[in-house]
Amino acid sequence: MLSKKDMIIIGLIFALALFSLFIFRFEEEEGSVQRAVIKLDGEIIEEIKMDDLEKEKKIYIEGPIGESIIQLKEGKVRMLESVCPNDICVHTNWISRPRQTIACLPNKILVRIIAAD
Amino acid sequence: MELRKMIQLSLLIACAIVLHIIETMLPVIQIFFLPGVKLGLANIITLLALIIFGFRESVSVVALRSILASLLIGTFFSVTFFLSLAGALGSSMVMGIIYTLGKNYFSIVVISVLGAIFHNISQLLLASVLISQIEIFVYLPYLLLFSVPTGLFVGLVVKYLLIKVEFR
Repeated sequence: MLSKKDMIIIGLIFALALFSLFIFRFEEEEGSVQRAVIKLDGEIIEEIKMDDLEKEKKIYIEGPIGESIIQLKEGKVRMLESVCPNDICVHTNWISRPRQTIACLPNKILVRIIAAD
Repeated sequence: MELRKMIQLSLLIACAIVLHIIETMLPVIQIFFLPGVKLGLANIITLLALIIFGFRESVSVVALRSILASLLIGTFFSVTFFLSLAGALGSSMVMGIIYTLGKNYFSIVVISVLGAIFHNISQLLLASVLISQIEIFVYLPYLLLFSVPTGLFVGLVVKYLLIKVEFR
């Protein structure tokens, strides 16, 4: 199936990919307070502390093609509804850990969880 | 252009369009928080065109396939279309360059894996421009991990196609 050389090269590529996983991991400092950052077209429009979210919260964002609804609940965030055609952002479902990201390209929205003090 | 070549190229484009559309029908695999991992079936035809005809032909197959398939699906000129075009063009160009310069050093399978990787990179580059934030690259390591198995799959399909099917 694969020659030995192929396996070595593909193994190297895989190792590099794994390595990049750790580079991205160490890039940000770890903090105790988790915050959800919501950006629209590159600008931060809302920053919410995840800890004091006992009640459910919904945020309505007017993007270039229409309205998207972000839902925050019990330390988790998700895109509840969006006008975008492919709904990738909605299918991403809940995110709850630092560095996890929801992106909605058609509506230019990015939701990110950061951990900082 | 020779008639035979023209017909073969259009057949390849037709196959690529079918594979592209089939792929959009498949359920998108949702792993962790990734925006969706795809097999890259149409890349089989890109690689075939590259090996049978060459660099220029494979890029034109890719461009025509992306445009025609998006017209059939109904995503023409939408964000999805531009993303798929960017990924397809980026990966086909990288594969073409690697194949023409170093086909003695790299096998088809390796070229396919590299193509899958550059598909993701060029797609994320365009995505970061569209959404005007570079943070979207947090997806890159995860996508790179998945481009190894998907690239392997495509590369192996092409390898056995070339053995089993006689072209020309």
